Amino acid sequence: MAAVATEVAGARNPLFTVEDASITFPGVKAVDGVSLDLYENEVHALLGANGCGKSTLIKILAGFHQPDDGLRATFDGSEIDLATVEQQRDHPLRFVHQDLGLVNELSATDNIALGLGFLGSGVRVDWKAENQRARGLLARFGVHLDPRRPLSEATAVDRTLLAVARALGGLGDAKHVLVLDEPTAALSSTEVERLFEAVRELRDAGSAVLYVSHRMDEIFEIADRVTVMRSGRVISSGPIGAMTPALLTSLIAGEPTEAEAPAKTSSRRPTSSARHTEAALAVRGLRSQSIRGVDFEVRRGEIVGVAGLFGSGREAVGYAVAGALSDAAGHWEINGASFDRLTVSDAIDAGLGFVPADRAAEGLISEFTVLENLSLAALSDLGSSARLSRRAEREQASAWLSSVGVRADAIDVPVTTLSGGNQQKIVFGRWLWRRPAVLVLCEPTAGVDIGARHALHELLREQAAAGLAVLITTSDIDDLVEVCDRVLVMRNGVVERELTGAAIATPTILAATEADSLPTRP
Amino acid sequence: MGVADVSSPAVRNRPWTWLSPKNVGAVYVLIVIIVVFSVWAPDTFPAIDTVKVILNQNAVTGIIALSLVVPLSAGVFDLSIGYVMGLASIVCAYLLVNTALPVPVIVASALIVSLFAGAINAALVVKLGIDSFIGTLGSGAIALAAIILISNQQAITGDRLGEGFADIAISSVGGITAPVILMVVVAAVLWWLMDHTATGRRIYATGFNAEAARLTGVRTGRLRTASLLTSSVLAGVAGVVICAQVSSGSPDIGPPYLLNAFATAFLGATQLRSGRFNAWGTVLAVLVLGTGQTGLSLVGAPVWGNSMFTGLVLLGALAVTKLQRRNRHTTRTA
Repeated sequence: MAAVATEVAGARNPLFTVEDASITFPGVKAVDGVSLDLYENEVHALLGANGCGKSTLIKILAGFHQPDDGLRATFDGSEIDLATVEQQRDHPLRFVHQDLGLVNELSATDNIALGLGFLGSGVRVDWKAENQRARGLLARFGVHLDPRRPLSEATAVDRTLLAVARALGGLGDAKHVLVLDEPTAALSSTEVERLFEAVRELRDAGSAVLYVSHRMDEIFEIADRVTVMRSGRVISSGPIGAMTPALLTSLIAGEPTEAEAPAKTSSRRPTSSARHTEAALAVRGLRSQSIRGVDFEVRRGEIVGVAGLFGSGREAVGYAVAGALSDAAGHWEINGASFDRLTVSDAIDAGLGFVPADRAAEGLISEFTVLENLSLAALSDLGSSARLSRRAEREQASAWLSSVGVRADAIDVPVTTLSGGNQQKIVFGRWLWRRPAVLVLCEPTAGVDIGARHALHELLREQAAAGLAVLITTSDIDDLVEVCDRVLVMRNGVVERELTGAAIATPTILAATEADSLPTRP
Repeated sequence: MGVADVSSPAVRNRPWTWLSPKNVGAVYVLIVIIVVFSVWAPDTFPAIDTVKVILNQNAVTGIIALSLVVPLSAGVFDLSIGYVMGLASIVCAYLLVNTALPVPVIVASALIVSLFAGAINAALVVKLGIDSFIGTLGSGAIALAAIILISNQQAITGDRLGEGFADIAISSVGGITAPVILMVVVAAVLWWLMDHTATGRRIYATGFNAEAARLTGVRTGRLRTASLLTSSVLAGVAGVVICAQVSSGSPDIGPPYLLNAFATAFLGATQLRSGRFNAWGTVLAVLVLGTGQTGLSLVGAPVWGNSMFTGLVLLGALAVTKLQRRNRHTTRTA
C-alpha cells in the first residue's frame, strides 16, 4: 500500500493542491484543516453526509468564502490566491454548481454569452458568431439542440452538459480543474450515463475533475479516487479500488463510540405505551409534481421523519401536507377535519403549523421586528378584529421568547439581527404560540449552529411529549436520528421504506436513501 | 413560564427617540422651510391665512396620496388612481348636470363607479396574476377612455355644480374646510387600521414577503383585493371633492395627481415608521411639499421651482433613509 502511494506520487505531481483549508462560522468550525490533491486525468470524488462541510469547502475553492489564515493553494506547481484567481483570464478552476446557474427562459446561445461574454464589437452583438460558438460547444458534448430555443425546452441532462460546456468555454486545451457539485441530483439514470460519458471524455483529455456527490453507486462507476469528509475534516482519502460500499458508508456516517450510542437511544424516545394512539395528521394518496402517491399518519405525541435524496419527493412532501402546493391532490385529515383540497390557511385554521425550508424567503418577514414575526400567526387571538391588543401581544411574546430560549430584550430588534439559530427559534415559537395539534417542519436545522440545533431538537421532544404530532422532512440525518420515532424513506416520489427503533441510525438511513438509490442500469 | 420582562416598550415611547431626526426628519425640514420663507417673504408668508391656504389647497393631494398607503403596504402598485379620481369627478359632474338625482345619490354613484374600477384592478392583479404595475396602468387607460367618452373632451358646467354640491368643498370650521377634515379623518382611520388591527399587520407582512405571509396563514389574495378596493374608493372620494372644489367636471383633472401622490406616499414612508407606508407620515409629507410650494409661489419663484422642490425633497429623503440603513447594518452585528 505504502509502496503504491509513493510510486503514484513519484510518477506525477498534483495539478491542484489545497492545504490546511479552514473556516470558522459563529459557533462552529465548518471546515477544519482540510487538504486535497487533484491530478490530471483523474476523477476525484468528494463524499460526505449533509453538513459535513463539503459544500463549504467548494465555496472556499470558488473564492466565495474567505477562509481562515493558513490556507495554501497551488496550481501546476505555483501558488494561487483562491479569492482572486477567478478574475484572471483563463483562470484554471471551473465550477458547475448544483443549480447550474442557467437562465431557463433564455436560449443556449444567450446563456453561453452571459457566462463567457458577448462576441462582436462594443456596440453590436455578432449573433452569427454567438450561435456558431454555442453550436461548437454543444457539439463537443454531444448535445443536439437548437441554440436559439429557450432552455426550458431542453432536457435536464442537456442543460447540465451545457453548464459544463459553458464552464469550460474558452479554455481550449489548457490545464484545468473542473468541479461538479452534485451534478446528477436532478437526472434520471439514463441521463446520468450520458453525463458520465462526457465526464470520462474530459478526464481522458486531461481534466482534473472534483466530483461531489451523495450517491454512492455513482462513485464506484466514475471516480478514480475518493475523499470522505465528516464534521469538517477529511476522514479518509485514497484510490477507489481500496473501498467497498460498506466501508464508505461507515466512513461517511462515522462509527458511533460505544459509550454514546446506547445512551442516545434510551434518552430519545418515550416508550410506545406512554404515547397516544390517535392520529392527528393523516394523508392518503398524496400527489404532486414530484410525489406519486403517499399515505401516512402521525399520531399525537409522535415525531415522524421523512428522509430521501433531493428529487425523491422528500423536499416537497412537507409543503404538500401543509397545503402549500397548488398542484397537490389527495385526502388530508388534520386534527379531525377532512379535506379533499387544502390551502395553507385552511390547514392552519384546522390546527397545523408549518415551518418552511427556506427561513429567509418563506419563513421570516425580514423587515419585521422579532415581536411582529413571532406574533404573526397568533394575531387573531389578541384582542378583537377591530383592535389588536398590543399589550397582550407584547406580554405573550415575551413569554414565548423566553420559552424558546431567546433573550427577552431582543423583542424589538429587527429579526435579521438575530443569529440563524435564534431566527429559527422565532419561527418555531410563532407556531407553538398557537398551540397547534400538528407541526410540519422542513429542514428545521438548516443553517443553525450546533448549540441552537440541540435546543431545537430538545424543544421538539418536549412538545411531542406534551402531545404535539410532529412531521420533519430533512436532508440532515442528525435531525432524524436525534428526535424521530419513525422515519419514512422516500425514493422516486413514494415511501420506499419505514424505519423504526434501532434502525433509525445514520448507517441504515444512509443505506436506505443513498446506496441503492438508482435503479439497476441495463 | 412566568411573564417575562415587559419593560422594553418604554424604549420605543421615549420622547427623544420619537422626536429624533431619524424618525421625523420631515418635521425639521418643515421648520427650516417655514423659517426660510418667513425671512424671504416676511410680509406674506408668516400668517395664519397662509396656514389655511396650505391646508385647504393640499387636502385633495393628501386624500389621493393616502389612498396609496394600503396597496403599497400590501406590495401592489395602483397606477389607476389618477384616472379613477378623474372618472369619479366626471361622473359626479355629468349626473349633477344631466339628472335631477339628489346629491347624496350622485356622490354614492361616483363612489360605486370607483369601487367597480377597484374590482377590475383586483380581478386583473389578484385573480389573473398580472403584475400590478402593468395591470393598473391598463385599467387606468380604460378609465381615461370612459372619462373622454362621458365628457366628450369638454368641461362639464352647470348651475347645480355651484349650488349645494359645492358645500362639500366650501363648508368650513374656523377657516379649515371640509376636505381638510376629511383628509384627517381618512388618515386617522388608516392609522388605526395599519397600526392597531391584526389586518394592518397582515397587510404589511403581505407587502414585505408575500410567500412567508401566505405560509403563515395570511390570506394574501384577499388582502390585496381589499387594498385595491380601498385605493379606488379613496381616489373616488378625492374625485368628488375636486369636482366640488372647482365646480366643474374637467376631463383633465385627475391624472396629474398621480405622480404627486406616489411622491408623497414614498416620502411619507421615510417618516415616523421608516420603511413602512403610513398615514401620518404621508400627511406630514403633504405638509412639507405643500408648504414649500406655497412659499415658492409667494416669493414669485419660476414655474419649474415647484417640480424641482418636490423632486429634491423626495430624493433627499430616500437617500438619507438609505444611508441611515446602511450605517445601521455596518455598525450592528448579529
